[in-house]
Amino acid sequence: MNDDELKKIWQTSNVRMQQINIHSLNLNNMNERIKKFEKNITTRNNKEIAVAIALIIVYSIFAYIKSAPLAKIGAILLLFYCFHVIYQFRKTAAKQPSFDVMASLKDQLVTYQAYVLEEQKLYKNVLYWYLLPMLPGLILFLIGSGINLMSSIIYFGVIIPIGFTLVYYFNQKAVKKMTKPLLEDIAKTLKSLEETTS
Amino acid sequence: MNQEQTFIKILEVNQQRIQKICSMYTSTPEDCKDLVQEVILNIWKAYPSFEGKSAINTWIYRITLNVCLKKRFYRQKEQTTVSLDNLKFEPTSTIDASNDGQFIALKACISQLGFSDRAIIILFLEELAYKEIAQIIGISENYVAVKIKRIKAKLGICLKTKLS
Repeated sequence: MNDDELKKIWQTSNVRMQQINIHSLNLNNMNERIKKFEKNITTRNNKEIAVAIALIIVYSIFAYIKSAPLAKIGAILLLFYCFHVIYQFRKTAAKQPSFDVMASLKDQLVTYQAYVLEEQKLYKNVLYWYLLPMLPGLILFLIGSGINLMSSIIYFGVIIPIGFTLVYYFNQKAVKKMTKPLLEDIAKTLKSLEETTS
Repeated sequence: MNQEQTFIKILEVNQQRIQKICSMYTSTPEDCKDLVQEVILNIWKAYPSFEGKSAINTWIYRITLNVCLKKRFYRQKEQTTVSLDNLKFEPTSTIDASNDGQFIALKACISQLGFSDRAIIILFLEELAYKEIAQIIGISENYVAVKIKRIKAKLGICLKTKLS
């Protein structure tokens, strides 16, 4: 089958699906929906900031009201830890590419790949940037708060290990189930666009 | 003619084209409808920035394929979309069924290709110049020619099997 025959099949066939009734398109309604959608994104971002501010306020209050020096130091460390986590999240979120309809397909994929790689790094290294930095502040805060032996066993022997294991497990699962297959898929497509002469 | 009327006119002229491309990236009519709506919305959003540097068709292909890419690769949380409840689809009475079998075979063969190969062959079948295809995909003109040659060879084998 030559080029002209191929093009003829393509161009003379209509897709067997319903036709769009263009006149049913209400452009004012479309504009309203776009505005509402953009407002929802702003609201979502503001909610994230509000949660971050709330956490900072809580630890600041603890740092202020706790009289025991260890608990005070622990609360201050947790306060810094909060700033650190917020910074890490915001740093990755800032790298989220805005969808550019005018970009070339290759550029679009390269940009998105960089973002997913950054996110995968967060999941993979959750132990080092999220879990371990929390420990010193948490331990000092709990010890300084004067918890009894039984509570210490429950906190340090059960709650913290289980909590940490679960967070670590779900993050590694996200890498395996979500980012890794996606990155492989993107890499495969980008590879098909690499100029080879073979 | 105001901006809205021009937009409607553009859609009227290009709706079949948009639907055909979307159908190459979806497996069900419902998915195809959703994708078409998303494309229309993105065309409308981008329309004020259309400077006329390229032909309107090329501009529409670019947006359509980018939206298809977004649907294919972006994860659910980044797929926040605006649906167009008011957009109606009507049964068409003007379908030319004479080469339906060939088109179905062609569609099936194109569906077996990877995302980028699919985009390249669609643009080729839509008779875009290699230069325009190169710009939309983001590769060199020479490589477009190489790719098209390879894809046509694959399609040839596939179509031979499907149509025999």
